[in-house]
Amino acid sequence: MKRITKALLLPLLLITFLSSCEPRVDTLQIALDIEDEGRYDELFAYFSEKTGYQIKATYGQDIGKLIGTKNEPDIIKTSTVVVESMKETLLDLNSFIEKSTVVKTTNYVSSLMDALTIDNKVYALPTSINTSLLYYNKTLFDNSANELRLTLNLDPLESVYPQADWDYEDYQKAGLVLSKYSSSGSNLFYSQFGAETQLNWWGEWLVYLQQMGGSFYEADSNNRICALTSPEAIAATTFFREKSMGGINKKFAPNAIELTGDASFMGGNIAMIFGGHMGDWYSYDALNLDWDVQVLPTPVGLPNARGGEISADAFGISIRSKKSQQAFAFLEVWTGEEGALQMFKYGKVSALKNMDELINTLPNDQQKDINIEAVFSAIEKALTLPRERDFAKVMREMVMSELYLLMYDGRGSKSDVGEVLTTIKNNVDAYYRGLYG
Amino acid sequence: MDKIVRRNSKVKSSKLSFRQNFTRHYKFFILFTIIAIIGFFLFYFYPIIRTFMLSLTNKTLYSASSEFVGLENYMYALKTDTMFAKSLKQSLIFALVSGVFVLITSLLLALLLNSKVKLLGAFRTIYFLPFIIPSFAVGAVYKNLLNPSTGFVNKLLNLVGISDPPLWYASPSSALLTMIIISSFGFGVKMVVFLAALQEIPEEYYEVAELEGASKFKQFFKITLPIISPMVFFNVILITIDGLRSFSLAFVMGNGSGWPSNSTLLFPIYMFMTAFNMPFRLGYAAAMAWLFFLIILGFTLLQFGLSKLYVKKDLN
Repeated sequence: MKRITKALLLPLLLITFLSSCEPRVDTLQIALDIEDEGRYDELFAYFSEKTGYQIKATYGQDIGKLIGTKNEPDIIKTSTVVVESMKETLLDLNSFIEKSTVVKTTNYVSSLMDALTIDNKVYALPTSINTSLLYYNKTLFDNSANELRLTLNLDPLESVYPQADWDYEDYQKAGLVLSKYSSSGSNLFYSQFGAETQLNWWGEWLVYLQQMGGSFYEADSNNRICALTSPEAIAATTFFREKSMGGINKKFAPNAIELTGDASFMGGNIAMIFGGHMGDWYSYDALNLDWDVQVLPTPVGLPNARGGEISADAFGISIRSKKSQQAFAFLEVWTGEEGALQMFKYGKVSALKNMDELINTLPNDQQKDINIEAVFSAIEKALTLPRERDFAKVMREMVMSELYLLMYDGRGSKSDVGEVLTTIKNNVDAYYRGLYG
Repeated sequence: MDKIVRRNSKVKSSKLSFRQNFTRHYKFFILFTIIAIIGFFLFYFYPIIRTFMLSLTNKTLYSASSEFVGLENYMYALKTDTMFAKSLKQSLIFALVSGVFVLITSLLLALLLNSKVKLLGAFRTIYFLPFIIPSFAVGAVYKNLLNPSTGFVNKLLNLVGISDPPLWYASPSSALLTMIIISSFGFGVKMVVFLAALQEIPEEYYEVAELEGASKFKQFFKITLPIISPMVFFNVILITIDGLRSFSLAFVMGNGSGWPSNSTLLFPIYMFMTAFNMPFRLGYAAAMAWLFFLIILGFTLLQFGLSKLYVKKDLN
């Protein structure tokens, strides 16, 4: 009996062992987002043809878990926002860049390269960018064309869409026209809003703050002291609040409670987004929205105000990768012109400085029917986030949570902007004192 | 006769070698338990020890190495981190209030289901259903029902003339309470435990009590409650641990971040955010996990102490 069992078990063990061994092919591993599945197969095939290396991509896997279990791919996705936290898992690319005939750090938008370079070490190369823009729904603008012309004093031949020279007053005037409501007693029920309110993410509020000349941290404080009690911070937060909570002549965006309903740009009942995310372009197209972009409006009297946000996805090489040379060869393609054009098909704009020229070389049917020049103008004026490890935590737990209290009426809400900003400053300062003394 | 047989087998057993003894008496016992023991060491013991080691370091999710920091993480949590205190306080409120509600509801429903009513089986299934449905789905459904702008509940309240209905989960002042109300429907298992205990009570006890003129109220407090008191204790322990560990519902209701304004930030959510959101402080999160374990242990021991006051071991 024992012999029979052994005779059955041994071949089974051998088969299991052999089937678990993959044929030895030179492969590079990369982990991408779930929505990227299949998008870059063409590019991977191009790379394989060129180098003989296969790219094995996995989609939707948590990179933190992969790194934590020492199973990370050769090529690691990071971004200008998280690179500071991830730098210990990434190789310094300087030696590869020095030898490369293709990659030069000057090829990319300099603010992004600065964000990816820490202590003179380049930890990743940027791929697709995100920058703050003014998104607008052309259908909603067309539907209110006559009212917009009257309100904005436009000639019959002038476009009713947002213009590059818009200031906050134009933005607000248009927003008010585009807000539609019915009333019952003293209550107003909005069926359409002029603009979106971003409360889950700091993007919109921070841009107002920076454009008005304020900053989150005090200069020369090594990003440890909060500067939110400045007049600029109060003005920016007041504008942010009034557009959702102001009276009938000021309100053109949903408040926190109205946001829980069905108001959204993607839903087609909000006309504009201030800030937005370029990663949503694909969804807007998939939803058949007739949309376009413009540079951000600026505060009245400050036409050259900077303050839009810029960030980028970026890719680096794992410090444990045994194929770093080949991985860099892939990065050359991925972050180069071939990668840029492939990504553009899916609404992603590369961080290459000559991206506008590259787009112009594309046949008409491959170009996007949007104001792409606005993107490049916006990039020039945009700022990267402060380089501070705890910035996202501070924003999430201490800033947006307090600002929320300004954005609804009812128990627990607040209306004094100065008081809320002082609370935030005290909490943030106490947090950094607790961390660094 | 029995004694003689037992003595003979003892003599036989002592004459057998250890190997024979093992083969005869313990082989299958060891074989079957070893699977559980391996599982325990791999999936419980090792992670517990590893978490403790981590808690003494400044390890982050992405750091290749880490430094030993001693009890610094523990001291930071206890002395400096205001969010630690806030999330812990909210978890305790959540566990206590929803726990009391679940305990009372499950006992009341078990009493009702133990009576002779029609369609008993259907009622049992209906009341048990919320337990089977995953918390994520429960959270999503309630988020729709309780939506302050478009939800069915507020529309209904408007219809009956309430012009200023609650903001439910959208307001920081009512979000935790909303979560407590929702979680209070998770009484399925506790109800079944009570029901099983109730069905074990001999009918004669009640017959005698009735003959002696005891009211239903008195019967409940003098017969039912003392007999099922061990099950009350068991449920109290389960409810306390469940409440303190609650994660999924808070994750859905608070968009994974304690929204709005950290009002649904329960301790497990904060721990998760600390480890897996920027700045990915794994070592600190591990220290929080250990502190949390000690807190749960403390509460459980307290329950054991308090149980002496209400658990009746001998009805006589």
